[in-house]
Amino acid sequence: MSKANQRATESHLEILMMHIIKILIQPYKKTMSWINSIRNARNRIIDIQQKNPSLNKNFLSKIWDMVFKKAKKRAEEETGEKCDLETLDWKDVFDKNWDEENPDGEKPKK
Amino acid sequence: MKTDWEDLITVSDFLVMLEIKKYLDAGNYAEAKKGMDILVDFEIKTEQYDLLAMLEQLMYEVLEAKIFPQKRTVKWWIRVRDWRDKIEIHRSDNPYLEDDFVQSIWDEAYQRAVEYVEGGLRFFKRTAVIPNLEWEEVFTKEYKFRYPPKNFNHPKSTRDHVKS
Repeated sequence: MSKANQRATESHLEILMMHIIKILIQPYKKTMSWINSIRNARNRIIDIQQKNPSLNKNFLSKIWDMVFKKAKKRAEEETGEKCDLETLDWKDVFDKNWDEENPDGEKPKK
Repeated sequence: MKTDWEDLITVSDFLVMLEIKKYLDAGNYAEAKKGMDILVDFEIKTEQYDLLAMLEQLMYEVLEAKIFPQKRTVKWWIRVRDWRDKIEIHRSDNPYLEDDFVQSIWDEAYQRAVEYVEGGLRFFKRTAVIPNLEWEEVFTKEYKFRYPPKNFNHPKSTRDHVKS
């Protein structure tokens, strides 16, 4: 089960990072669905940590870069846009309220 | 030699089972029981957190429609029925998840559901008073739709569907 929990944590972290990257790439396309996916993934990671304390910040740090690469690739595929990010900040992934900045759905002029 | 059960469960529950079997085969029932206690506790926690995850989603759906009655669409009602069915099936598969346990996680699930709703309010730059939820509203109440399609029947639960 713990291996399964590790895989589940990786999966939730990837979904979490992917939606944050999508917001950073295309903030004007941000939807409530993306925001709820972020909140849901955070809750699932918290729950897994509650029942399996070894999957803590140390574990997340170990898988961080690997999961980020996968999340970035998925975000680029889903948005059709290139992402220049090298990594994501811990606070952005686990603490920031992404629902607070809504640029009114308009695509910025290039 | 004794097994560090706490450590082993962090690796794999299957390895814990194999280790228990080893002790049983050797007649060391005391040590096997320690492993079994760890395993059972871990599995129960897993099912409890799964229920919490389902309840927070169900409460979010009910809260949204309670605050914004215009969101009571057919799709919304089907989502509510799906969550109710999943919870019912999960609880019937794990009978120790009794009403008392649901009551014990009620506030935490509600608080999480409120956070989803508050996120939506901030996103759409709206304000609303977030109401409390009653057991009946979450688990049994049949809601009226804003725009029920002609000849619409309330969808059956998936369990009823399986039975028929």
